Amino acid sequence: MTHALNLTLPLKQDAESQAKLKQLEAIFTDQVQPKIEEALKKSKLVHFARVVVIDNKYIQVITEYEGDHQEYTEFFRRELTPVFGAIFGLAEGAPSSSDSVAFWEYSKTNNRRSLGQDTTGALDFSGNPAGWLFSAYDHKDVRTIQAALDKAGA
Amino acid sequence: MPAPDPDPTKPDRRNVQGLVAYRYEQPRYAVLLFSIADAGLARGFLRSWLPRVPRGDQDPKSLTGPVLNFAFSWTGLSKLLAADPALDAASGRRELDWAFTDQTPDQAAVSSQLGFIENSAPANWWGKHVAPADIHLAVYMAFDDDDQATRSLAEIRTSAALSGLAECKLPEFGQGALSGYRPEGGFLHFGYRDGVTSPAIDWDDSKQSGTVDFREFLMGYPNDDYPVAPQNPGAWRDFARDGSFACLAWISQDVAAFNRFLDANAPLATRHAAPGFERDWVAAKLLGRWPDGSPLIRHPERPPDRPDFDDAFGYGDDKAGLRCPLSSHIRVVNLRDQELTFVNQRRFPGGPPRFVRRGFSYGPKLTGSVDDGIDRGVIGTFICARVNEQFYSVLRWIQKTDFAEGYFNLPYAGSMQDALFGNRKKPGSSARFPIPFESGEPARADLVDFITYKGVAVLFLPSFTALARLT
Ligand code: HEM
Repeated sequence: MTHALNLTLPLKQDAESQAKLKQLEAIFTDQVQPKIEEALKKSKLVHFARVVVIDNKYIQVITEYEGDHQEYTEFFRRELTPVFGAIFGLAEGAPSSSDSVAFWEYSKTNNRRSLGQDTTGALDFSGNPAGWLFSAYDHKDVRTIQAALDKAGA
Repeated sequence: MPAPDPDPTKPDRRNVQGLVAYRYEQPRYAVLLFSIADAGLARGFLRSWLPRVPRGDQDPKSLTGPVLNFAFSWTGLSKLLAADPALDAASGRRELDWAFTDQTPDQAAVSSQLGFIENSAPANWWGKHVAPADIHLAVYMAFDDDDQATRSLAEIRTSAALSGLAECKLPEFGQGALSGYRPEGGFLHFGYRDGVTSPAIDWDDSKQSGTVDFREFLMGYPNDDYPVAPQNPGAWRDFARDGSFACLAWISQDVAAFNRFLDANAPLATRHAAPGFERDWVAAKLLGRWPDGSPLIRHPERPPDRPDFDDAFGYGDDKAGLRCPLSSHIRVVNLRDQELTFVNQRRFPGGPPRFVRRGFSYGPKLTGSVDDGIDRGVIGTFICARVNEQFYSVLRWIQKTDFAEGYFNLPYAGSMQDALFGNRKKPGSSARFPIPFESGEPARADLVDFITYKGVAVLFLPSFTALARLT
């Protein structure tokens, strides 16, 4: 079952934090993106991922991924500790990304629900019905899609 | 005896409750569940019974019953600590494992993932007369005989009632509480011998091969490989040090359904099992061990004349599961040398999850394939330090075998289930059990539900240092 992460963190507004945000934006393509890409590729769990900054007020980490929310939280935290460290460093009230309990709590609290209702019975981080998530592939998982593509010689 | 000073680098066995360190020899068991009304009175109750709690360095042979252990839910713990300003609930919630303080097994956030659906759904737990939130304290007891069990239960119940503890009664059991016995020869209701394997805890941090890091079972010593909560230095970490989580599960076993399954599928064993062992061969394929405990990986066609308890085996030379199917119980719940998926390798740098397992059987023996309407099963306690990474992970893997690479190769699938204990109604999982052979098509059996969860609780099993603070 595919789940959505709409992690939406309020950015600190002081000059120093905003300068750091500019730095992150500047190095993202060359230094951050490849790290995330490598980890997610190997994970065979994540369909899509991106990081979005909204008017320097919010930063979003948005992904579509497999598995129950709780199951792989430690994978993402461990594998991307420096990336989350950099992003969390810019956000209000963010914990250290090396603290597993705080990482989970912060992700849970700041995951925004999409509108509508999921049609597959998916739940959000707290066990409530998840918001709507369209899937063109009937929520097929990454491995199934990849295997089908391999078989088709794509 | 005063509680020993905590050593900040490695555990002191004397500080750990006996249940973690060794298996009791007593033949009779019970777990009493209580709600705490008055923290002061409850502390008095714990104080008066504390001398019956054995320490981890004692010799289990020397223990006489009643032997007690204390475990607490988060609600129970916070009630007892309400007047302890250093251990306030808000910071406890920030520091302790969230699967203990918040997303407990009965919560919708996790219950369906773990297979607690349909008959096993939390709405049906504890005989429907105990709300999970009312369980504050569990007293795990071992007795020398039936008489002692009856006497001690009466005594402790009187003492509890005087201390404002309301018992969460379970009239389903003759003793009115989870209770049962150490089965004869270690044979559980499905006829398998249990208690063959148990992790050798590396108490001294020696890193010797064949041992398991103590951080897998005890809180208070987090490092990079074992980021066990509470990770931050402070009062909560000190309090949790040398404590564990006891994940308590009341599991009902459908022996008649199991026996019918063996009868129906015994023909699959023709030409594969030694003559006369067809039924046991099916049972062995489901578990990964013959009923006598001998591993299938070493004895593929029949069990040896004398049971083989040597646990030093892996699955490296049986990657395709020709001898021991990949979804057999012991291959799912203890991965040994199987290659984890990349995500799980990163989650478990110290090795796949392990447990200290304790438990006892309940209900009369049933032979044959007609149900007698009497409940029977096992009360299991899975001891670990990280609930989501250990107990919940393995429960998820029992429902869906997508945790290791080999499971994605045909005739297997990441959507298979533990052949014995998957909940067959779990959406997205398959009840098909493939049994591959050296040559020819694999056999396939359609699995049914063999068990029902009737109650599961995640409880904190404190150290003696922590018990001193709770009494
Ligand atoms: C009715 C329920 C269950 C029964 C009857 C049962 C029975 C058994 C038996 C007979 C063994 C083999 C004996 C041994 O290796 O010592 C075993 C091993 C084991 N079981 Fe279960 N089990 C049940 C549920 C579970 C659950 C829910 C879990 C995990 C959360 C679990 C975890 C384990 C582990 C870790 C082992 C040791 C495997 C090894 O080291 O090779 N079991 N179980």
